[in-house]
Amino acid sequence: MVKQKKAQLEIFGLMIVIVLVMLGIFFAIKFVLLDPAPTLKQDYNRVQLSSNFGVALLQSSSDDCRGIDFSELITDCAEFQTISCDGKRSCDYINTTLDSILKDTLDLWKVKYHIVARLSSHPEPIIEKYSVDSADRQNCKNDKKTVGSLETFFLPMSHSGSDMVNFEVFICG
Amino acid sequence: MKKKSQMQFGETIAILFIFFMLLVVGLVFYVKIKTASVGQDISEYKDVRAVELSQTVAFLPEFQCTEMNVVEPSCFDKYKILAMQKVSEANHAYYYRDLGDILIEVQQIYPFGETIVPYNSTPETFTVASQAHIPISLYDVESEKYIFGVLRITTYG
Amino acid sequence: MSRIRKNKLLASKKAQEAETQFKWIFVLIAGAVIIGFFSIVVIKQKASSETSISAKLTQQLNTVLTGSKVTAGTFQEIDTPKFSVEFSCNDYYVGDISKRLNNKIVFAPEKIEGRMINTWTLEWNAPYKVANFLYITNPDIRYVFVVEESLKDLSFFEQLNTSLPVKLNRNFNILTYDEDPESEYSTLKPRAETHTRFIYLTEEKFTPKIPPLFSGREVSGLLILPIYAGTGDINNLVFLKNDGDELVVRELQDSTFTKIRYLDNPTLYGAIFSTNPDTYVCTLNKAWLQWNVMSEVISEKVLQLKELLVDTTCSKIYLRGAVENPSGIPGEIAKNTKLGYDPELNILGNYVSSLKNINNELQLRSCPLLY
Repeated sequence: MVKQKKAQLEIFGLMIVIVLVMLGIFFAIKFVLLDPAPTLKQDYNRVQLSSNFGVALLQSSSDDCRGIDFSELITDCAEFQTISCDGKRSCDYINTTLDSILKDTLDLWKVKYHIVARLSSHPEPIIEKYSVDSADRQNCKNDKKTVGSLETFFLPMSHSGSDMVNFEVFICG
Repeated sequence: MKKKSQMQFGETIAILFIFFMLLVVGLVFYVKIKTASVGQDISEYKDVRAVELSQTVAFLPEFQCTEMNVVEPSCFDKYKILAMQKVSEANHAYYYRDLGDILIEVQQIYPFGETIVPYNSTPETFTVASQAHIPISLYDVESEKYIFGVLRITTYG
Repeated sequence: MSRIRKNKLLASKKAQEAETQFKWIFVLIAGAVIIGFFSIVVIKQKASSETSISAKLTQQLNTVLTGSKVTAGTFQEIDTPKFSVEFSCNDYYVGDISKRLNNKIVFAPEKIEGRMINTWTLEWNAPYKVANFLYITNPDIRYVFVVEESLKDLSFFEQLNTSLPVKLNRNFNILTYDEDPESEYSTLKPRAETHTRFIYLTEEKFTPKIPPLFSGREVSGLLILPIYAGTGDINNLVFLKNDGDELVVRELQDSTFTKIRYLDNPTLYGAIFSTNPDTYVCTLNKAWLQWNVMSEVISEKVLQLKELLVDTTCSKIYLRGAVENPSGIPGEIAKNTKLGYDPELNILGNYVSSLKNINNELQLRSCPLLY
């Protein structure tokens, strides 16, 4: 009887060892092997891309529109479309030029994006561009649910009081 | 008696054997975990280095537009970059200390124009090349216009 | 009980005793081996962890230093694990790990210990932007500013007061140097700082006495002589070291120079934060080298602008002497004489003024600026 109890105790001891080892393996797998990889570079690239793209675009001077910069063309497109460039209205000119720029930059780099210009008082977009792959229209949209980096630029309008144009550059993560 | 002691001895040996087996398994497991952790640290370090390099290049005084020493944000001076093309060749060791084996290119996207290479330290052989693209506004003092450009940094590993 | 049985029992008892003894010996040896093994593992693991922490801290510091290169005019307080960092001209060391500073211009004490690093960055313009200077210190280093009695004009002192960061651990009351035991200077008390740096503004070179309550503590000093009354020489610096109860001159180990001069305010602040004169001069050399390279870039830009704007009012301004080849005159002198910073030269000061005037004229005439 005593021998039986001794053997049971020994087995019990072995069980404790096994349980401890299993716990150790569980923690190691959970916190080391399954630990998500840091995304510093991707996060930084997304943030700098959305910010720098917007700044560079808005500051750029038009080539065949008397050197007027894009921020002015966008606000004109939102207001009265009085500026005419190379036979085109400001909105058409911006759309064509933006397509050309995006083809050589974000589309070429296969970056998913959603670029919108709209009045702060009106949600309907004046200018809207999505990444080239049509499937991305569903996946990359500047709504609250999609993960990404948004940079908004506020362009005051000359004749519309407190209203302004919100130019949004959203890069999907 | 003899058999009993032999059995006990055998028991002790068996326990020790199992103990050391567990120890070895534990050590091997620990080394594997540590290797994975170090690998992750190396990867994180490479990412940090890439981000630091991007920042260093994007904020070089040799590129920045200034007016009476007031730096214009996100603006690159085209003629300073053209000047740097010559200067970086003559002072390669100086720039190499901070930049290392990378290729810096400034491409004019709109209106379309030449690609300027202010710094080139491409090694003869490399295993991996990664690129970072930074949209920039390039100021042309001749036309007094801002060009939409891209600063491309190719890092070699 | 029969005799044989008694003998058997005795033998059995003895065998059991022997067995017990051997068991205990075996347990002791096995236990010692196991404890020894795990002790070695723990010691090695501790050393490895310390190296790992040093490496992480080095990387963190590198990120801070790189970040500071791109943003100027900021004072940062960075919490760190308990550490000790040593700075030289070209490297910094955290434990066993060292990292190159490369082209970064860093003014720091030889050693910083504690749980916080303070960094301050300033643009160095000469006259165009050359680099961002990075000054490093920590709250355990205290700066005491003392005005020598002979100094009559306190405007320099007041300008220094307003330009240094507010959060710097410093004494900036007008503390006059006075060896009288009852004076404010002599009765100055240490606080919790590990290192005290006395900065004396003076017109004469002298050997200051350390306030008595600071005796035995880690102390260093600096004499700033905006105008040296003896010779009329300007912008002189004398680094001082602790020698018992007074601060004596800490000579440069490199005897190329007989004196040290600061060029402007950013380089003066560098002398306040650096405790080693050799490191300070070496760092100024690095700054000078960057200035040379930047001057070449500006020079090359000017040559291009000159060709673009040929036969215009602007090109006439670009054609003027020092402008056509801005790195030529002072750059050539700098390269040919001391290959870098030379306290005997004041060309940089004159050259900077000349370029500023030309840039102002370019602005008035709406010409593309030099900088």
